[in-house]
Amino acid sequence: MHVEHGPAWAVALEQSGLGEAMRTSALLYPLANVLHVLAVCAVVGPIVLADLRLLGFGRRFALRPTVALLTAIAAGGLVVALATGIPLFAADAGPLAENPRDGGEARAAGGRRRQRRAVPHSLDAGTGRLGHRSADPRPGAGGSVGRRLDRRSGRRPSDRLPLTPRARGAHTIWM
Amino acid sequence: MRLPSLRVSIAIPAAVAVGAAAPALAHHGWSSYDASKAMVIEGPILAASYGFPHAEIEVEHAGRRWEIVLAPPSRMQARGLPEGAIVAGAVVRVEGYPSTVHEAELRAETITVAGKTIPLR
Repeated sequence: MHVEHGPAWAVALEQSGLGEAMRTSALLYPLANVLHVLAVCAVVGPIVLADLRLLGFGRRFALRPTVALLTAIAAGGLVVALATGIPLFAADAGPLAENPRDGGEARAAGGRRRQRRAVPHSLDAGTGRLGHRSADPRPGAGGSVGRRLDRRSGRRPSDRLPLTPRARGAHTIWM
Repeated sequence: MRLPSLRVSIAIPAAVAVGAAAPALAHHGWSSYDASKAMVIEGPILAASYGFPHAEIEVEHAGRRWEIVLAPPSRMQARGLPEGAIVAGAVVRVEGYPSTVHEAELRAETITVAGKTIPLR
């Protein structure tokens, strides 16, 4: 049976050999499922740990090698998560692909919720201006975040990041 | 106006990541079925598929073909519902909850086949 719904590409994926194998094999789906969860842990866990390290926890672990190791683990986890996630998705691709992000009520309401979201959340209703920037081009008039801090501290823009020197060093690794 | 703190700059991507994973959970979890509207569907199976992630059957109810989502095959086998028990023609009684997303779709809490009632959750 397996009722067909969803976009054509998803239905094609679902009806492929991969989708069929994932549905019918007693082992493949549970195995992929377990590996997928472990892989997601391997992605999220090191990210949390690296973030904690950047926040200043565990200073006895040297930043660069620690973050390099955590990044490598997370990258490996991402590869495994994709390698297992695509087959899992294939087993039931059609319904998953059309699964509404907003929940059932939003669809029933004819996408009203989505229409409301079309207005950028930072748009100021009164002035029609975006929240963080001033439309006034004069220097120092309201201004961006950077200019405001500049005026207060009198420092050059490169000194502006409100990070500890240690954390700033870490950020150069990430960027 | 200060730049967002490091804590905030971590919390926002984390929330986005969780949000991105939510649709996958919503589809086959129980959250997209209305547990306040428990209903019973009884009749012969019109069509059946016994595969991952869930076995499914179709049964007519109130003039419509209902798509009934059962449990993963591994769980059904462990509870005494092998593939041969869920076949077209077999008469079943299903208790469950209608989908809040798709019409005529039910998630089964229990299924009764050949006098045996088996919980599926």
